[in-house]
Amino acid sequence: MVSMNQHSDTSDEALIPLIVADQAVFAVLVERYEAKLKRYIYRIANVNKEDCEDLLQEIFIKVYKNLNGFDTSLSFSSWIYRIAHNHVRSHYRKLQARPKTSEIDDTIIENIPGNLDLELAFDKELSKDILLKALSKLDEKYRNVLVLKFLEEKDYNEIADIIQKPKGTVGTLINRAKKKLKKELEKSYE
Amino acid sequence: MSEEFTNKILDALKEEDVKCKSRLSFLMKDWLLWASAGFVILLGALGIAATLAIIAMADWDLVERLEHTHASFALMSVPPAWILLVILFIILADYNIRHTRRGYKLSLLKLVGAVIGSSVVLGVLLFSVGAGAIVDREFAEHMPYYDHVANRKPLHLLQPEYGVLAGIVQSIDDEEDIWTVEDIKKNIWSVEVEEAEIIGDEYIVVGRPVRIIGERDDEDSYHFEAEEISPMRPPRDAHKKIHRLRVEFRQQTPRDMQKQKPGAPQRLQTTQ
Repeated sequence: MVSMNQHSDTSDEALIPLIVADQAVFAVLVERYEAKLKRYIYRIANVNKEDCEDLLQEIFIKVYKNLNGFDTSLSFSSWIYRIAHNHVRSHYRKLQARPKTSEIDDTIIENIPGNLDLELAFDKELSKDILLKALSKLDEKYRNVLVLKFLEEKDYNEIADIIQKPKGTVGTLINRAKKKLKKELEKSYE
Repeated sequence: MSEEFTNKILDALKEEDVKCKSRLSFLMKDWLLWASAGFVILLGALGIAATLAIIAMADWDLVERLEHTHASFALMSVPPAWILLVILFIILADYNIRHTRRGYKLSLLKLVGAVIGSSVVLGVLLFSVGAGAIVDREFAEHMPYYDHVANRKPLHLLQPEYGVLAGIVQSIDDEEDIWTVEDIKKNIWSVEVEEAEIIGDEYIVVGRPVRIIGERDDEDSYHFEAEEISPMRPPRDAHKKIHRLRVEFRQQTPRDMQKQKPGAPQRLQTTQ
């Protein structure tokens, strides 16, 4: 197996030609993104551990197949998140089901309330259950942008590249998503 | 776990013999999308050119008589079929560009603006070099039902209450100076031509469309008193078509004349 240390200083983008030449180098990318993508899948989709691993495996195979299609104007991270995002969406489209969030960690509790500027003082008291319920009531597109913005901590350009929408549309989606989440949270506190 | 998962991925790649797609296939896909977008924009531009040609060839001298403004007359002359096609081409071009590698970065407004703008500019250029009229004529000659859909002139010129009539010449009675004309609604009109000025009579033959300006005798009758008769103007290069028919007719030998089928063009003898 290719050692991580051997390529520790090599950027993701620079790894691509190396992987095309030697499939084993792909292990470096898998190790770099496995945890990040797994967490992302849990955050945007309602899956158990086995399903998550299956999805992740399919995503990495797709990444490998499409390495030569990597758009050098993007960051590699945005590109691999885009593949994951599209794959999860098409997976649920096939099942004709709507992905639901299953994992809410402390990051969202720290990030979202401040950005929402809510009158409700729930910064620290915001319950995970309530936030989970509120998020699960949002449309998939709103939930996705909130996850990318506040949990994955992506900026507007990166989100635009991941969900393949113009930057202005991303801003609008995030604003609407925040308002909708705020409404859902207010309902929960009533 | 991580190493185990990584090995699982590498094993899957080997087992399924997964290969990286070639760079060329991605570039080709992008080029094809751009090329098809360009082609669809060109089609849209041709549609705009044809629409402009049809508007330009409308009977503008009748605007006042038909109590229209220039704007409403232009709108009335626009063939809806072409407008629908142009809209369809614009949507297709937008779809293709949006699916190119970086197409998603363009906002809807910018993208639609750019597609419409380029279609219009190209359409005006094509119209100015006469491509619009050619497209319209070729479609009329080779595409079934095109004339019924795109040529609104026979209907617009059927307004006897404003003293305008249009239809196909059915027969010419030189002794009584009465023509019979069938309009697009299949009404047969008896047209009094004694006092009429006949313009372009060399192009007027039985079986071809004419435009008649005059006065309806009675609201309930199909009797029309003509002041001016002329061949139906283009679109469709009616003059050329009729001229060709007349040339063919004049070149016929007496034997051909004997073989002539009923309904074929008859020589017109207009009153002088």
